[in-house]
Amino acid sequence: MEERRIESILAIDVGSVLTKVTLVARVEGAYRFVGRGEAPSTVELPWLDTIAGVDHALEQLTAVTRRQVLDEHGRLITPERPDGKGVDACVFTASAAGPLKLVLIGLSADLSVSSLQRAAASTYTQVTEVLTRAGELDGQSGPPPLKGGGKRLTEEDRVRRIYRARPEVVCVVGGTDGGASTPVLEMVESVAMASTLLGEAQRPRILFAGNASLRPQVAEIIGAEAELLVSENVRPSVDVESLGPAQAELEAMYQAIKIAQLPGFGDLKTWSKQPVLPTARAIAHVVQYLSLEDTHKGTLGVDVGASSTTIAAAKAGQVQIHVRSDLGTALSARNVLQTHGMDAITRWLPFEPDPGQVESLITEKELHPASVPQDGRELLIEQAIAREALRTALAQARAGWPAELSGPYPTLLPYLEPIIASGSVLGRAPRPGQAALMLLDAIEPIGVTTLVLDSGGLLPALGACALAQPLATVQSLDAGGLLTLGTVVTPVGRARLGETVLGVRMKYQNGGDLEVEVAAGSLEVLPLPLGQKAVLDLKPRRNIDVGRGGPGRGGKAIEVQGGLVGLVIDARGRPLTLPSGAERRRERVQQWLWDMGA
Amino acid sequence: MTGETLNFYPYEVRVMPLTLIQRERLLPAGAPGEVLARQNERVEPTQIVARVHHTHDFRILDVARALRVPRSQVKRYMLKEMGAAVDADQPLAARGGLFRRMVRAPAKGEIVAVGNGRVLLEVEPELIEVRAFLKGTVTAVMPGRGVVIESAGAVVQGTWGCGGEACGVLRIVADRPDEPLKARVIDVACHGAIVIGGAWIEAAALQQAMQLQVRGLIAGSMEGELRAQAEAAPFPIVLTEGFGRVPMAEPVFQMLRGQTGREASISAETRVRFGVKRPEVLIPLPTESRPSPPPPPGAPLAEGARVRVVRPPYLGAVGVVSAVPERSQRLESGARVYGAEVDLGGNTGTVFVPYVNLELLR
Repeated sequence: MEERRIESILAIDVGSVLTKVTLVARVEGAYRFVGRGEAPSTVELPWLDTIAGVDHALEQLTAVTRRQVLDEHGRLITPERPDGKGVDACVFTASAAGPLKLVLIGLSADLSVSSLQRAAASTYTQVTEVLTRAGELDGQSGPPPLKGGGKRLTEEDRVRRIYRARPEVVCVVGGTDGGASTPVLEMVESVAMASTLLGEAQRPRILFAGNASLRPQVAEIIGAEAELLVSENVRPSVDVESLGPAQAELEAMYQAIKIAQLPGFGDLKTWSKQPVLPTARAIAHVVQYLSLEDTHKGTLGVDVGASSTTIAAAKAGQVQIHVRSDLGTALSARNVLQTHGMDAITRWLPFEPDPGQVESLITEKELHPASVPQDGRELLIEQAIAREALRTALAQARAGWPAELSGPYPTLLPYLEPIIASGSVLGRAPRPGQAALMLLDAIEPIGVTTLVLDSGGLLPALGACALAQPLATVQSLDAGGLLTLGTVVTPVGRARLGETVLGVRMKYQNGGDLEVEVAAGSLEVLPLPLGQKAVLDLKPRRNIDVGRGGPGRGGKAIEVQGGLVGLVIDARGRPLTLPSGAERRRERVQQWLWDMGA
Repeated sequence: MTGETLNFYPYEVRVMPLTLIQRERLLPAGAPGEVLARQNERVEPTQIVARVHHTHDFRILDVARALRVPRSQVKRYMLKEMGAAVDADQPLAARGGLFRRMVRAPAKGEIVAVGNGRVLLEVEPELIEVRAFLKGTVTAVMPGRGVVIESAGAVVQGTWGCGGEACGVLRIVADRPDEPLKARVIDVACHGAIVIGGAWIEAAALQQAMQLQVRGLIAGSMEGELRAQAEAAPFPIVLTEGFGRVPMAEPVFQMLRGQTGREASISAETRVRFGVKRPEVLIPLPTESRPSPPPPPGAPLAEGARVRVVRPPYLGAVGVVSAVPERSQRLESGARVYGAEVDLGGNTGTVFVPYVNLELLR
């Protein structure tokens, strides 16, 4: 029997603050984004019912699209009826659940544990302890700086640390395949003992991703003490890293232990035949797809959320995900302040905040994470927090990127095209220039790239739609599901402030051209509205690189698309440095905001 | 569902003069213990309703090494079995013959595992006790976990708090909701009482409250800089509005003022995510009949609703929704958002506030 074609897909994203629903349907032969709705998530008190937030968001979707998707009993109508009610498929993404609490254990801080930390950062996790054979490392979400081990621990200390961390999952790595055995098994024994102490209700799952030849002994030691999962060794040999299988296991556990436990989610899940994707993975799907368009350049996707920040980078279909579950603009904003201090946030402000203003705003955002700033100053403080969250997450993500994602300058970002930005603080920035400037300040791209904004929060939906119908993702993206902010040209090289570094000639497709000489330190925006095209001729000075074949080379003329901001030439220098004096710095930040129309 | 207008569902806060209060009082998850209270028993706030001796620490004893025997044979030399309670210095394992050796318990505890030549001894169990907290009747017993206690009374949910739980007599020291809590109004009569201020807590007032050993503080707000000091206070503090210099919402102030002299239970525990908890003030009241439970959440924002603003420039202001415009409006920040026209009264009058910056007071 021929399978019925999927005409419509409902994508539901349950975030920690907002629940978003998106309808994608075939219109005139191609899948398009049809409408969306959103409402505050209801996974917490007083609701404790995920469905309520979904219902509220669907009410909005129905009001906007006039399409009824639920029946009178509140159940999803599926498949789509001839009268247009219901949908053919439903897909879920979620990030509302708390991060998976992990203890990481391994032999070598520089090898296996370092790989394990990268694997752990690929989904929503909170690493509470990192224990090595040599000792302990500071536990934190995401890989901490590794210094080859900390203070030596006795076995009792090791068991005590696991016990007190009360992890949901203990990950054990160590030894290349066929390599070290005794020290790995000793670590496993510690884990088994801690599991015994924790008792049935709090017993963690154990993921073993170490020396493959030890699996039978590991299974024997763990016995019935805990559920043992085994994946391929993260370091099968010293020079090979294999993170995929361990990442897949951790994602599966996030789904099984965390997402599935969201109140009411069990009933909701019956609406879909597809597995629930962690939101970060759905975003990575889109980035992965876009990276196939030009396999010579990498693609970057960033999502700055209320609780977490996700970085997804891909090249030729190979995607790297890095999630910081402890950095965000609302529920995790305090971590940004505590990690970097007040000065790191206020350096991005064109004014001196009132005493206690940043602290108060962070508290308000913690207590009322869906709330929005009403005045301009509060808005800029939130955007400053977003810059720092993004900078931190990106710096840490880059440390784990493979050689294929490296660029010509080791300390700078590689060439990336496009850069897609998601998350309310970016997507809902009142002026496009604000979103663009946040991205330029935090990401510091080089060469020529395009900034794309997910203003409607569609990225998770588009990534998840691929589970039901890959064509829906592809065609919805092509149909303009995302908004182009503009093309950015960033010259790199040494130059004195004010010195001309780049000549730009822009020939508009609909007639007329514009010539500009760009000075070092400046931020120029040339008019190129959305929907318009132009041909760009770049003439960098001899030692200035715009990523078109090396320093001094402008390459062939490039066709560029217009955007909400226009064509941006960011000649402020890389790495971006802010003036050290507070007054001058504020003036400069204000100037940049004005330059970007922000 | 074929709704044609957009509905918005703000967060709901309970400020109820009389409702049915039901609270679970449970041992920590994963630490099953003994439930002491019985079904239908009348309980007092300080009464212990459940308790457990929970593992706090342990020792790993390498018996094989101490006895100098193979790891696989340790069980043969054990004098105590798994699960046995042992006293400090009591022999756990011994080897006879020419090379007599003995392993003694380093502390009082319980043997929880024997394997691979080692003994895992649980020591210093921590006593965890759960008190009733709320004066009322036990309406459900969850074996091994705890109880549900029910009472009729007033409920005020706060915004932020610190310092755990307390019970005591409410004593109001402010005449108006916009009157800051000053040290001079906290006198000896406040000793052992839960003190209710009006607006923000002054630093000197916090010190004075500590010196006079109050049971708790309830106020509208406090400056952010005072947070660390407040968190170090030996009593719970509940802020009804939040941080800054914000008066207590008028309806909250009036309700609390009406209950002065009564026994109350305050919980200041605040969790912003993964099990959100708001601080609350519970005031059991004598009633003839069982009142209705609080309405379930889910009221859309509508004309006539009583709301509180949670972000500047009207942070803490309470008003009544006069209209819910169908179209989004532009804020000073430049953002276009959906919201409501709220009549805040006084000099402020009616203002537009994003719906996500409103809490429904119910």
